[in-house]
Amino acid sequence: MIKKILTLSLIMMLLLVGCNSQDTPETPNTETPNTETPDTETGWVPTEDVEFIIPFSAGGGSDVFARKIVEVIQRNKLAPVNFIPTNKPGGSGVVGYTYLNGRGTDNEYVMATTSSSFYSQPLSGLSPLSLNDDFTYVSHLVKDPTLFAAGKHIGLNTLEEVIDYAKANPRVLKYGGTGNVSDDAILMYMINELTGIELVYVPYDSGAEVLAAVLGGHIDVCGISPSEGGEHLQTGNLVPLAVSADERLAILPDVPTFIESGYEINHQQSRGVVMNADVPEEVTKYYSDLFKKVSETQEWKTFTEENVMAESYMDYEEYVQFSSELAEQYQTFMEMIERNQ
Amino acid sequence: MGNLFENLALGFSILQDPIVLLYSLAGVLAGVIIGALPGLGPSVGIAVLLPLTYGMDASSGLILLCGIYYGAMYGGSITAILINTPGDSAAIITSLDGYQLTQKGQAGKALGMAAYASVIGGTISVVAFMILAPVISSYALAFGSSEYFALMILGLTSIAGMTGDSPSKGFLAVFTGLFISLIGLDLVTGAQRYVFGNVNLYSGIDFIPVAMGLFGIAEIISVNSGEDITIDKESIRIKNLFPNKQEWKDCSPHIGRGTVLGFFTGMLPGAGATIASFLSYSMAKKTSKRGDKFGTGLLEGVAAPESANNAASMGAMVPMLTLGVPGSGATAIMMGALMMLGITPGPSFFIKEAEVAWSLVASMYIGNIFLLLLGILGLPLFVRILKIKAPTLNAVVFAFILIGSYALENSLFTVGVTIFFGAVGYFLKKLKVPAAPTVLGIVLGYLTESNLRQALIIADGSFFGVIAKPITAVILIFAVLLSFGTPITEIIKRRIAKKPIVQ
Repeated sequence: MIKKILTLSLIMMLLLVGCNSQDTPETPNTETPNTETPDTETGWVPTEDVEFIIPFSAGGGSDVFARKIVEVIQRNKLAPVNFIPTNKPGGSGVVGYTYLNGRGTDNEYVMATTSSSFYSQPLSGLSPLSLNDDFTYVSHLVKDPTLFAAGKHIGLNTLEEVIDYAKANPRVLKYGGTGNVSDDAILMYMINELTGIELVYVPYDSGAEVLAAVLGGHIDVCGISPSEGGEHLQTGNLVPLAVSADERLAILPDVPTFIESGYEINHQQSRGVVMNADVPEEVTKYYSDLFKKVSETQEWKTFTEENVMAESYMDYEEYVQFSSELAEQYQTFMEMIERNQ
Repeated sequence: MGNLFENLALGFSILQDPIVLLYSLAGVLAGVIIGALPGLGPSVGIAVLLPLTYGMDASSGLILLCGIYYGAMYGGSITAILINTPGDSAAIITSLDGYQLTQKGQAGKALGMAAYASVIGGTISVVAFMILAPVISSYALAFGSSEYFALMILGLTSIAGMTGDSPSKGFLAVFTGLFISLIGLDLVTGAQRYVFGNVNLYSGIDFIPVAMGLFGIAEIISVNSGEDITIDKESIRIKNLFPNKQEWKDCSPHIGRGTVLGFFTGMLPGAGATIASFLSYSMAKKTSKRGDKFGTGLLEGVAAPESANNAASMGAMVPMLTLGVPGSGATAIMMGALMMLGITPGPSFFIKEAEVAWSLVASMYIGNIFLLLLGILGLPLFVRILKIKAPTLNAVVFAFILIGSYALENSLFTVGVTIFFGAVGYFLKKLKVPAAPTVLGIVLGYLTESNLRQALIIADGSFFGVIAKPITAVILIFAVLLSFGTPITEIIKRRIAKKPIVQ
């Protein structure tokens, strides 16, 4: 009997340890708000813990992004309350945003991260939510540049060589990317549209699969996150052609941006934080300022560099404007994707 | 070769630190327990315990996570064998023969064999990993969509090994699985298939809640509480856990083949331990002299998949560490952990991070010894599970299944899926329709389809272009021979037998 109890309690302990270590912040000091926090203009300060929804599963890009924000807030005591990350995956984010939307009561204490599917799902009619009416845009934090790269096997070393080859041989080069209506796909259709070539899109489930396919010579070119390309970019198995970014990447200083190469191609995944509609402006402003503080820490700078994200903080007013422009870009290219299917 | 031993010596020298050894032991122990809990597999285990590694140095963190990984591979078999509730997906096939052995009162023997097979499969794979990793990792890349498509077809032929008495019921089950795999958004066009506007169905139905329902819940509600399983006390004595000479003779070829097959399957990105265990079981069934008795409680039926899934967990480390291409969900999370610890896996991992790499290899030897010790010494404890009164045990297991299915996605929807398939599983059990082919259908259905469609796009829509590749063709021919080999040889034999008569 004792053994039975022992076994069970061991199991329970392990589970508890596992759950706790994920969410427990170091010091939940609900009592004394940090001296830096109160804002002279607004004065609204959270008094309850904040639920931070990650509409994707543990381990993915959004998860890493959100947990880092939470870590920076807790470690630097930027807020007087705890931020609790909750994964609500499903339907490419729709489940998470629907959950956010359905909360109703404590709107000041629940928020969610955004990524490309935040735009693509509502625009392709797969989400009941409206980008204009159902969200409050709090802060924009980073952009994820995408790298356009070629496999070593095709023997083409620059963007120009690839474009010339593709012009002479339409629909011969196969371009691999993650997902069907995704940033990788949009990048390819932008390239096709603006350079007048015809690459063929091959959708994969993950960046790792895209990488394996291009290294193995099964596809010719790909859209991939620069951090996923890793060492293969240095060894020459994966030939970087151009980056879709505002400026050159620190890890690939010799690789030009598309714009430098003379093409108006710049599409990046945008990551920010949104809340429900009807959140009072003073609340939005509080969180917007909070995320500004996050983006100014050294930890955050190191994190974005390591993950090859482009830092791009925007406050709540700039973010709304940026977001509606981005939505238009998605709309245009998603229509193009649809026509091509 | 001398270099190899030097490197290994370097690795073992790091392991002299008792704390590092403790991490390995803790990892294996946590892995066994997590693996045994229904719904919590190696990937969940690694993800949940990942934060523990934040403060550690890279070697210790990696050693701990690897311990969880192969510990869970064995742990999954414990509940599969004892209560017919596979702790993780790679143990689904182990429950077929394992649970039958328990019902015959040979639970101890089955668990013992699972431990030996896991450890042998794991250890041989470490040797292979060490020697072959740099060489074979480049061959793994030769597998593109068309080759994977062929591999999945080969996987589907293994259904023949699971259909039980009635092939038509087996096919009914597998087609149900294939149908379920169609639900969700189309990978290529994004079209909705059998979704009916429900956002929870966009990304399809995951096979884990289905497996937990079909196996776990169905077993609980259909169990006849009147017949308690009796364990022969004698059978769980340590010396009786060693398989006897005859049993070793029966099992060792399957362990050998399972290890080789598992290691190579695990190495292929996306194939993984579950498919390795399915393939190994069906190969064992084909090659064994008493293949027709599989499913009635043969030790070979435990040995083959268990050696394969542990070998596969080692195999999956090869492309992750040497190419930066993770071969499974668990290794993908591990790779994230490595990057957090400041190490980027890739072709020069073994050179640049020699200390970490070789201490990892060394820890795998030690970890496997820990696994064996835990497996054998913990056995009397595990078997005690069966002494718990059925209603108590069932309630506890039921709770764990529901918690496990909620934890998968933090969603009540998956709990609903689990319960729904629990009900379906109950009726299937009553109708004697096997459940394993349904799960296999879900797993392989999606992979078969997506790989075929990628291959078709790459081959400009020509099906011939997809199959006219050397590796693809060889695998497909192999699959055809496996499915139709017996009838074809029968026909040829009959022809030959007839000839003299015609003359």
